[in-house]
Amino acid sequence: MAIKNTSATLDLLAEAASRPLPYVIHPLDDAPEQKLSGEGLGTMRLSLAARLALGALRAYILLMIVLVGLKAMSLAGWINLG
Amino acid sequence: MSIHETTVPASTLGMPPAPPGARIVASRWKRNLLLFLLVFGPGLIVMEADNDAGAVSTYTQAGAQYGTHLLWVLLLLLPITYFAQEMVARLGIATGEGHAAMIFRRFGRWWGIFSLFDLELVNFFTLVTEFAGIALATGALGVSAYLSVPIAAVALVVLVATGSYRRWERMTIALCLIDVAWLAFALAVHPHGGQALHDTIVPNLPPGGLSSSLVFLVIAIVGTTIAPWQLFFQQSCVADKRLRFADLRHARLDTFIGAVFTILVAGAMMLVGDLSYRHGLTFSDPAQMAKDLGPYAGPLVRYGVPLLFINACLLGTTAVSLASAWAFGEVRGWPHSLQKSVRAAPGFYGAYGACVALAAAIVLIPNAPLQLIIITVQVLAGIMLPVAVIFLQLLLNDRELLGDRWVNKRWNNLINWTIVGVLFVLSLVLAVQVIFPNLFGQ
Repeated sequence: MAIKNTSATLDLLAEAASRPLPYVIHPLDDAPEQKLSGEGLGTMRLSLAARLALGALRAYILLMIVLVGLKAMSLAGWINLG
Repeated sequence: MSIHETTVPASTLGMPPAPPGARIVASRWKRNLLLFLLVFGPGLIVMEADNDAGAVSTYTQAGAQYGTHLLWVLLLLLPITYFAQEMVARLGIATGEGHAAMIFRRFGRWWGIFSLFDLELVNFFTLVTEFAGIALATGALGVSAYLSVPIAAVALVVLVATGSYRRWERMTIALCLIDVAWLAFALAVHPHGGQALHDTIVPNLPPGGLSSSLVFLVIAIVGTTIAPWQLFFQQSCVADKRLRFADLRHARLDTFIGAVFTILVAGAMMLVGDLSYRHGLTFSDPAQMAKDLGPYAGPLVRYGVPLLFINACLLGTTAVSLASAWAFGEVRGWPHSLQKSVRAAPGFYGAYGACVALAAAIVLIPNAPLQLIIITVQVLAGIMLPVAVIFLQLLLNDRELLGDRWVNKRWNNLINWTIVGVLFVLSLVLAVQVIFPNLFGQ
């Protein structure tokens, strides 16, 4: 179909041209995005209470690993816990 | 941004064309659907891979011993598992880095090594249970473990070593979707629908009340539904897939769908176990249960359950091994992406292969104490889970790193600290329970 090259037609074309036409792209094909980087921030500032809590947590975990290990070895018959 | 705004016709107006690989989609809803499908994957995989050997054993045992009475526990676990995983997805998208890397960066080397040691220890033992499951299930189908375990190990290495994240993801999603068959099996055993619905919605105790084995099983259900490796896995997976800021809502939906699917499959496993309960059969393991149910449920359940058990073990193995390999690569500074070839990331694939090979080798040792290893894994995972969630919680409140947009909201923190508290108490009870087995009576 022939389109008349009138100003109205040109307006329509211009409008169509300026209308956003989004596209979808797989993340792996997309340009890399600037992420929030922790570089230069150093380690997190923790309050004394938080540091103590994490320390207690560390002790708890180590104790539990040892306890579970002993229990497992006892069940396997490698040691006798009495 | 994931949805880019451009103008047409690009050629005539001199506008930059859409980049290679982009697809122009005029319809808004089609664009959203397509974008979701592109983002979809990590959430489903991390959730469904958690329905691994230990999970199949635990859920079917729960059904076989207590019928449908513990279905409500699964419903309670749905929001817990979603909220925990949503946090790692958010953190991965915001920083583009894995969980182990973030802990090293923000908590220092000592805490980093500590977390990595915890993770690798539990993961390794979990892998042993996955291969033990493969040996058990193939044994029930008449195939020797000396044949099935090495074949499975090789297949698992081939699965990741293609040098394409997308190929790995598609194959793994296909394995996840095979689990839909559990829903069909649950229907095939003709459950008592009304009773099952009641037990799902109304928390209740089975006949006999609180006992040592019930407490153990409830905690095992919690421990098997949410595991420390999942936190590391999903963040690394999201980072490897390079999800963008705008992908967050789709990643959340992916995680939510994964959580719902996993809980539905877990419920289906309990319903299959429930048939065993209704016939008064003794439960020893899922493969044996399938054999016993053969006369009542037919060949579909008799042969289908061991096959799904194998699938669960394969899914669990690839996800747990990858969680270990990603974490190791992040901490060591090695290239660590499924997009890279084996030659380009030898340390990453070497760590993955070593995890798989060592775990498979242990299972093949005659008279290895597999049951003891399985119990130890459950206890260790239970103990370490709340610790892993605490680090996650601290990272998600790191305003210096994440700014206001990405940190947890107040309600997020309230829910998460409640979850940490509950998990802590349960992990403590679990540990005490194993050490003092008669604490709650027999």
